Amino acid sequence: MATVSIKSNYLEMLSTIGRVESIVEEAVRKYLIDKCVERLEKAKLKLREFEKQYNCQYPDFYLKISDEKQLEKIEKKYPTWEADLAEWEYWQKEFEEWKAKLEEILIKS
Amino acid sequence: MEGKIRRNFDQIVTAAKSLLKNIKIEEDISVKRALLKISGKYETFEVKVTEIIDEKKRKYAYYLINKGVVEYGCDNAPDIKALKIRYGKDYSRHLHEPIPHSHGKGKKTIELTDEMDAKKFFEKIKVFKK
Repeated sequence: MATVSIKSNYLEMLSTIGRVESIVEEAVRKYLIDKCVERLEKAKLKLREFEKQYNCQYPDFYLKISDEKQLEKIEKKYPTWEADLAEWEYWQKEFEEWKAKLEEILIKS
Repeated sequence: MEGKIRRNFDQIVTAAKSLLKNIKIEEDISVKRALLKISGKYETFEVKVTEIIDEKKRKYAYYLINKGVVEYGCDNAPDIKALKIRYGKDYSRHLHEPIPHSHGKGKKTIELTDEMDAKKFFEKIKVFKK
């Protein structure tokens, strides 16, 4: 548990509604869920763009670029694939981590 | 970490703005990593810059493109052609290793390089002035 300062006028209003600790905790929980969903949606959108472009998911793309013949084909069509690989990995990690955070909030509360 | 990354990204953006036209910038700063993408025009070329800080690791890909063909590029992706130059037959043991390298016209040549940064890349492409 940690202590957080709240403006006294907010505190007064909250105490008229119910137990301040519970209200604040629920508000923070909702905020975190919204934040996780927002990040997940952004990551999902970016991942879909790459999946559509390369017609595969990130782990398959990684396998493809590790094979010389497949890499040759990719390079012909997408000469700047290295930038896509780096960005794809970025959004893949973001998706996995925010998903784990959301699950943690939902399971623990 | 965020402050340091922002300062670094701001410096890259400033350098890009001084060189490129029709510039487009995309930035995402998250908890463990950050992404900066810049595209723009230099002379008749298209320039694409991707910079990623993933915890303490850096990933980058910079390209100078002429009508869809890479004129010059450098990145540190685990490109098997670069890995083969460095490790020879043992390259498959290093498949996921970042390896700084550059590409020549049409990506027909590849050379191992030191770690590059966007500022060095912007300096380097000035020789391609038409």
